[in-house]
Amino acid sequence: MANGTIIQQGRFTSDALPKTIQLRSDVDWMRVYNWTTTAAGGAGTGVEFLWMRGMAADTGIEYQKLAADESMSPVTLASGGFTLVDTSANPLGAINSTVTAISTAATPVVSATSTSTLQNGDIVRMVNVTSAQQVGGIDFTIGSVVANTSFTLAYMSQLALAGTTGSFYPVNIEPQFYPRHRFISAITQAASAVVTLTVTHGYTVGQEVRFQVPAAYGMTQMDNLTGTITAISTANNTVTVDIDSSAFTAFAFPANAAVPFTPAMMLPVGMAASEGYENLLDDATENQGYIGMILAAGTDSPAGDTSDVIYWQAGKAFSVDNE
Amino acid sequence: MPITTTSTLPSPVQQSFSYKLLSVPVPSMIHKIPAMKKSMPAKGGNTLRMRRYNALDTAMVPLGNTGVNPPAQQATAVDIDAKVSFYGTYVMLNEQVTLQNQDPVLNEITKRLGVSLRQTEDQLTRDMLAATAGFINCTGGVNGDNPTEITRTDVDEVVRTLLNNDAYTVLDNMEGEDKFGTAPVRDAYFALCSTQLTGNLDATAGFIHKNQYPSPMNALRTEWGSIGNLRFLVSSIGSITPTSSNLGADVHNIFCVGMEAYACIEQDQYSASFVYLPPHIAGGPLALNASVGYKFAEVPRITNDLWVINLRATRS
Repeated sequence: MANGTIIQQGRFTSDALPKTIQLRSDVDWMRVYNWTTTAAGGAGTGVEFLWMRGMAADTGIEYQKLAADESMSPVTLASGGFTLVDTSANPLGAINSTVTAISTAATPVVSATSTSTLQNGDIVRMVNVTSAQQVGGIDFTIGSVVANTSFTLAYMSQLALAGTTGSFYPVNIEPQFYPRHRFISAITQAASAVVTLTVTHGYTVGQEVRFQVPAAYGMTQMDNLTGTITAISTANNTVTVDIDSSAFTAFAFPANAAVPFTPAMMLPVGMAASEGYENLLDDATENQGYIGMILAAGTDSPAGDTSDVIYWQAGKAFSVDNE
Repeated sequence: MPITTTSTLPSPVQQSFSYKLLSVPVPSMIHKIPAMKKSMPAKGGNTLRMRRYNALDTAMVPLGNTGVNPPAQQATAVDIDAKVSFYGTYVMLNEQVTLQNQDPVLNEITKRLGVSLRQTEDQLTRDMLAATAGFINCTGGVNGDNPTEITRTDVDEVVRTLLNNDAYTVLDNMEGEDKFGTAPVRDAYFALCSTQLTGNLDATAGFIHKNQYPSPMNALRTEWGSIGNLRFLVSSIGSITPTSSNLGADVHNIFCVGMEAYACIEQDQYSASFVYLPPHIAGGPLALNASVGYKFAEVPRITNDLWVINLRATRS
């Protein structure tokens, strides 16, 4: 490939969520065209977006359609633009110290005066929440984001005592290697135990997993057992395993006063060597790292709005001379 | 009497070049030391499947004299898979650089690429361990965080866990000798960690620095010392999970490793290779640029999750 050329291009249909485009060769500029708004968008809608190396994260230039003659007007995007991502870099965003409370609802609600760019499905790492120290340092997938008001710890169990002030980090990048260990928030007492993980797990049926359940969690009989995943639920972020936990002590997420403790975890072991799974390689350790560009979603952002058809081009400069 | 000085007659060339190039910092690469080396055959797909049979139950009850067969046991196994990935990087070098520079640029870049290659391999292994190994938080310390700083209690717990998991130690013991200030060293598991933990290791009860070993020459260069049945190898690229403690401090991952706990799998016919393309090949119509780089294929994989435990600690 000669430098200075367009290295990749493509098209996708927007689902109104940020879009990650992998560009292993790295990229010095990127141009995005919204086919849908170009054809039919009203005044002020973004039709073309540009990013060049040197621009700050989540920024870019937006060309908006004008009402009168459909000519275009460029504006700079202070946010909602392009973010270059390298998964081998620091995975965390900036600390957010605006947490004012974590509720005792069945699904804990975190109140925060700023939710920044958080969206449903993002991951946060809670830090030093007064009266809820047990969630500190643990990653959670979040849901029900109400901008600058609250979000839920979607798969966390109910807290006995409400938390008050604290902080969180957005976890922008997962560890590169799959399958990853996951923290456990709940295990049922059942003929086939159902295990809830705090972060979207990514496991599949047939994978063999081991449980690490310290005494602080109660269900010590589960500690060090291995089981085969027989079912998963993406809606509840659970896995069902072939372990009969019906006679085990109840699982209870430790309370604030239990800190410090070791979190309960589910560890990837391998693939059950039994009929039905013999040709599955879902447990294979794999480096899923990438270099790419995250396009923010929205009417005035490069990933567009629901059903928008987006065309993109990415390129490399022969040299970049940003003074 | 007029004196001719360097002010009136400066040297025509103001600088000399020191041909002895300065040392480049190179981190200790500790994470592949305990790893098994495996390879997957060429033309065999991209995933190596390994199998481990599960232990059978013991048979503690006498057979008796009835002649009736006892129930059979069913053999089971776990398959452990690893998918190879390809890696590489290179430097494009304009011909004028080698034409005009006094130092052997291409030679030095080649050395740097060699370090980059080995460091990439090391960091891949490190990151795999951090992402997939189970862990134990240090809880015996007093810094108020979760995990706390490392203490002897925490070392004892991780050693006890490895022993309970039937992990073999990797290193033999060192017998005590009649030398001032030395102490015998137990057979041990490797403990791989960041150089930032050295102060905390020094302060942990039962720590024996390697200069107190009966035979320090048997210590590895990267070894810092031992506590109980752990011998600590330290590196500036030891694993750290940023701002991951309860109080938001960096968490230091100490990988405590028994024998055959993990493997690094290479691809046959694609082991690390150095690629040099001279200007007349890489440099286009005018042969302007050369390129020099490396590529390799590898995947690290835990082969027995019971035999590697990440002991997590913050600093005091």
